[in-house]
Amino acid sequence: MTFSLNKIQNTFIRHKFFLLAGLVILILSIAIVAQQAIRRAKPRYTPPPSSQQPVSNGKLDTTAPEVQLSKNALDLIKPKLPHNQTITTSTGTKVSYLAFVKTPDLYELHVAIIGIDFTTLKEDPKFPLTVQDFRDTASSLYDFLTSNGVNPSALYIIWADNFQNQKTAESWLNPSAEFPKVVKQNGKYIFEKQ
Amino acid sequence: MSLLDNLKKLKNLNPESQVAEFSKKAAKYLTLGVSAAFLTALAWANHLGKVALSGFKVGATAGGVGGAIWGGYIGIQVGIALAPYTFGISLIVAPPLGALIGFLGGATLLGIAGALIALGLDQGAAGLVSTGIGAGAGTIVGTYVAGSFISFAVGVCAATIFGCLLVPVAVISAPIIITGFAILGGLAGYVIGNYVIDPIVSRIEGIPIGSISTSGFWSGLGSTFTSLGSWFVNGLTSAGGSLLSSALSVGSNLLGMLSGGSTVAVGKIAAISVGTTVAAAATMTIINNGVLTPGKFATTQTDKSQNIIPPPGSAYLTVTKTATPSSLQNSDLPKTINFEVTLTAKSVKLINVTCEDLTTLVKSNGSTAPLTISPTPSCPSTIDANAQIKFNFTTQAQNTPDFQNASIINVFNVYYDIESLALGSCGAGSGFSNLLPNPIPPSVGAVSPTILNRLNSPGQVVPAAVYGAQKSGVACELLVGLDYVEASWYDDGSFISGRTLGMEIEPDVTSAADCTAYGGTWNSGCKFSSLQDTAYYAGDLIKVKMGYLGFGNRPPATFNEMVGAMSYYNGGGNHNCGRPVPYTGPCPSPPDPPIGIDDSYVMTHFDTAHETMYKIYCGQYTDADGVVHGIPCDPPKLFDRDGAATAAKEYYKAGAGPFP
Repeated sequence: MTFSLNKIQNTFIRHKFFLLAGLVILILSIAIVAQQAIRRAKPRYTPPPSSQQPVSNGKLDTTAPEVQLSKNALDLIKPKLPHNQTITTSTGTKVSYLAFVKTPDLYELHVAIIGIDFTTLKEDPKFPLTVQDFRDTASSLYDFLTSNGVNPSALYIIWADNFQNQKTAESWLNPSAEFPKVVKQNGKYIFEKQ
Repeated sequence: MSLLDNLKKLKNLNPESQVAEFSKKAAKYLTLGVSAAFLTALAWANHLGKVALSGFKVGATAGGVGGAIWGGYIGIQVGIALAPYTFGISLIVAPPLGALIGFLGGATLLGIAGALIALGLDQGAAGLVSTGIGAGAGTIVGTYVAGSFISFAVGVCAATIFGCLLVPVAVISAPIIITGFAILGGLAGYVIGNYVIDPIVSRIEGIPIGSISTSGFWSGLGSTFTSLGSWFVNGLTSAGGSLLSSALSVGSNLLGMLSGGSTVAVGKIAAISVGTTVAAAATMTIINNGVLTPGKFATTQTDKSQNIIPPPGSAYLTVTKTATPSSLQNSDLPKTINFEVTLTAKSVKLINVTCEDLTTLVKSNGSTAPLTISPTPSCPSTIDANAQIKFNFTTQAQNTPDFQNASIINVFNVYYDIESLALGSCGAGSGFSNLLPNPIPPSVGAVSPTILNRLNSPGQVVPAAVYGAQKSGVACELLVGLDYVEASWYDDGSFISGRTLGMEIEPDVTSAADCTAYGGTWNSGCKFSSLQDTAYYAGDLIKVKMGYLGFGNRPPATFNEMVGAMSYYNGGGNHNCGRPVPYTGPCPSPPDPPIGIDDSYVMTHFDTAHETMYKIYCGQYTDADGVVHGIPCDPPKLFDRDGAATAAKEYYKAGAGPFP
């Protein structure tokens, strides 16, 4: 009994360093894998739809909590605006965007995107690619916002220069039943089948 | 009853009972002690705020899991060693108890380390980050040492019964050893962070501004920190829906600011603002110190994307500004910073002039504090045409921690009205001449002069354009030109699209907030009832189009910019080149000829080359998704009106009126 106990103990003692190192590596690996899984599992941010803002007596309801939240977020990012950035999207498209404020508009971040055509027809073979380019552009803007302490999910963001295009942009923003995730298949970008 | 009392009691027991009793007491006090330490550390992190608490959670999770596994492993050894003296109960109790103690101990120490790292990231403090990392590393080393001691005790226990008394001693000393190593590691990290990393970083930062590598270093470091911050954030958000995101990413923001990435907000209503930032960093950094001209804000900083926008009203007033010194080193503190501001009125008299100066200290942790300037600048209530006013004032950069690695931001605002605007004309000094070619080419076949009389008093188009120009900074004549094409200079048609005021929805207005901000009413779309509000919106929309052209959200400052912005304003669809029309004028090849040079909406009749232009779309339809599409003219149809640039030019050349 004593002999076998000693044997077990010695085994533990001899391999302790390797067990410890293995343990640390294991924990880090789990953390990294979990992190990646979380990132892939869901969209990171969902800005409130600007096309559905609360209205009272024909005017923006500035007392609504979501409106106040957006104002606070905009106030945080204002000192960093205008922000001009050019990115190469995951499809290889070069897109530039300018994030700015319109002086009297205290509640919204406006973005002028060069390289995305919101009137692209669904039948156009480049439609999924355009949607993906827009999503990548939004993601870049989110990175800018979060790196400056602003939660994009709190901010009304105007993506286009007219009401219809803004609604289109909001419908493209995150994968949905109508516009699912975009994947590359045989060199072409298509919507992932449901 | 204290641990010492219990030890005294043990003396009266036989060796076997002493081992059993001592082990029992050790386990009890160890569990209680580690639990108390964990709760105290948690309360400490919570007290420090969301950022620290978030870092604590991440560290505690990692440390807890690791500690539980390690503690369980040690528990197995201890359980086996003490089994003969505990009737085998230790075999059952020690492993889970070890796991629990390991969990709490690991969570406590790595939680503290995580909190320190998070705080460091948040505040851009390398010392705090390295202290946290050091503490974490010390914890791991200490765990190894303590584990070895326990293993040694277990080995001795196998040899002699009195040696078994060493097992609970080793177990109880484990947290002390581990904590000791954690403290040592933290101290080492603190020293490395403050006395090794900081000086190196500062030295690199000291490369003269304009060198991309200067901000590149900081940006790179900032990005790394951002990534770490992001890792923390996402991890925690997923774990508990925590809202700590913002705080963690501020760290990189601050780093960016140190490198000179500060932007000064410019563009008050009917005002000129000029920003200057002086940064006090470990070594020299110059941030935005430039001169405002009607065209643009020049800056010595070439590696930053932010441009200062020409402020509204720059057509009427020039502001130049300098700061001396324009850069500071921490070793220069204390220092008096001298600002000199020069206002120069252009060819119109400015009335109701007021000035304000906002000088702010942005500390290295991102917090701000107003700074006192002396003397306070006091503007005269009027500034005559072409007159010049100078202000000199100073502020003090103190030799205190608040000013170390900080930025001093100065914004000078000037608010004014333009006397000539009351006359109902755009005014001779509107700056529109800067938007026309020199010499101004004569129009060919222009038709807009025949309806100039619609602009006579009491017509509202020109006063509305004046208002829109004042508010947006876009030249008044440009707005008049837009209104010609959109609404034929009738008072009931919107500047934005020509739609009837109060009746039709403006499709260009993007949201209720946008609509409300400009005085419109929202009901499934935006309607305006005031012509001047549409002029203001149109002016700002021209600036938005400038953004789409890549010039930034600012008024056009050249002919090429104006032509491009006007073309985009109309959607750009009426460009003639590449279309099945016999247009013979120039085609765009940016920067010259510019985008829009072949757009009939803009250029028709502007000069000889643009005498004949064609309308491309003769109608439009809305598809099932609500998207509007143009219907091409078939066959091509002449555009028999003037382009917006042509109408603007004709109005400008005609003078203030009244028109026959």
